[in-house]
Amino acid sequence: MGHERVHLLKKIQEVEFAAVELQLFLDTHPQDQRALMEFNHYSRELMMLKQQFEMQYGPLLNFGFSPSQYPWRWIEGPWPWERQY
Amino acid sequence: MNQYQHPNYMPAMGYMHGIYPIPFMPVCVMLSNAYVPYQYYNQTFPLAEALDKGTYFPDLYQPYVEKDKRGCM
Amino acid sequence: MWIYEKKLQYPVKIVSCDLKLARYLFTQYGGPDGELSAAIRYLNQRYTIPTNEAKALLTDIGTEELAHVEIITTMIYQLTEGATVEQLEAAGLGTFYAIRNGALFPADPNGVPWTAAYIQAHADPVADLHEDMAAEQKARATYEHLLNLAEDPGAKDALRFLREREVVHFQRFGEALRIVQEYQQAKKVY
Repeated sequence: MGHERVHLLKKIQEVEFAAVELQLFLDTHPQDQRALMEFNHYSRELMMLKQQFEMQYGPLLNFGFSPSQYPWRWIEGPWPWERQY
Repeated sequence: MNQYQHPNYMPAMGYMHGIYPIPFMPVCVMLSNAYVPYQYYNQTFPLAEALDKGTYFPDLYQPYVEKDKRGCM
Repeated sequence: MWIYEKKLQYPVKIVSCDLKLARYLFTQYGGPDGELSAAIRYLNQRYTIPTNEAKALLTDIGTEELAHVEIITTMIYQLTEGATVEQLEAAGLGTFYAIRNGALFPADPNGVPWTAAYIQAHADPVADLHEDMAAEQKARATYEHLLNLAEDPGAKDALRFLREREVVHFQRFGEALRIVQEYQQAKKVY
């Protein structure tokens, strides 16, 4: 699939990874204000990036966390484990 | 060793609450206990580099050097 | 409740057809110190761990381990996809083919199926967190063995990423242990 899709996906993977790292850090450092501020910053950025991705390439999340265009776009490939992904 | 890794370093963490703040190493060390140094928020990698390396924290980055594949002679 | 996110945590770009590596990777799918063991271990221990910090951490790391299962299975799937019977046999995967064709299955490289006997839980925060820290070290060591066995540059990138995650998780479990120790100490003092 397109170069632009892969690029946007990579950006999402990067921001989400920082959020994962900060989440684990905050679990054992619940009073660290700097980490919390950064976490909230990336959380907002991630939401915007995902919205942008989903409008073009379909839902990223199941069970109502991502809306879908017609026809139901969740079933569209490629799936993450496929070579074309 | 930077200032955050110093055994006596105590971070400013807003207000005291319960067991927090937790020191880098325990004040009262006991036999038959294992202690991991408590990390303090320090430098971070740029996002692309963090994903590439597998951590957002340079303090935790410990890459592996692969074995020489030539083997025994 | 869990939500599936239709993406990999780390991009997997396999370029070669290294079927031997595919077989070795099974250790991190259905092996004793694999990602599936890790996910089930942590998600199962969280019910009886006493501190809120550790409940959150076991939930979050357990969830991340499921994403690592997906990275490992994606690598196995892509490395074996389209392989001929002869190629599978040459890589020692003939027995896998005989039982289930190209289907994936949580087993180790010898075909021994995944078992819950690989994990433990004691409802004792010190015992459980030490088990978790040991598990992270064993998985780190396993990734180093795999890095020595792998040739494919894309597979190596993913293995290096997964290995570093073990280092980070060890640190967080160690901190969760420190928190438990601080609570135990505070109880004694007051």
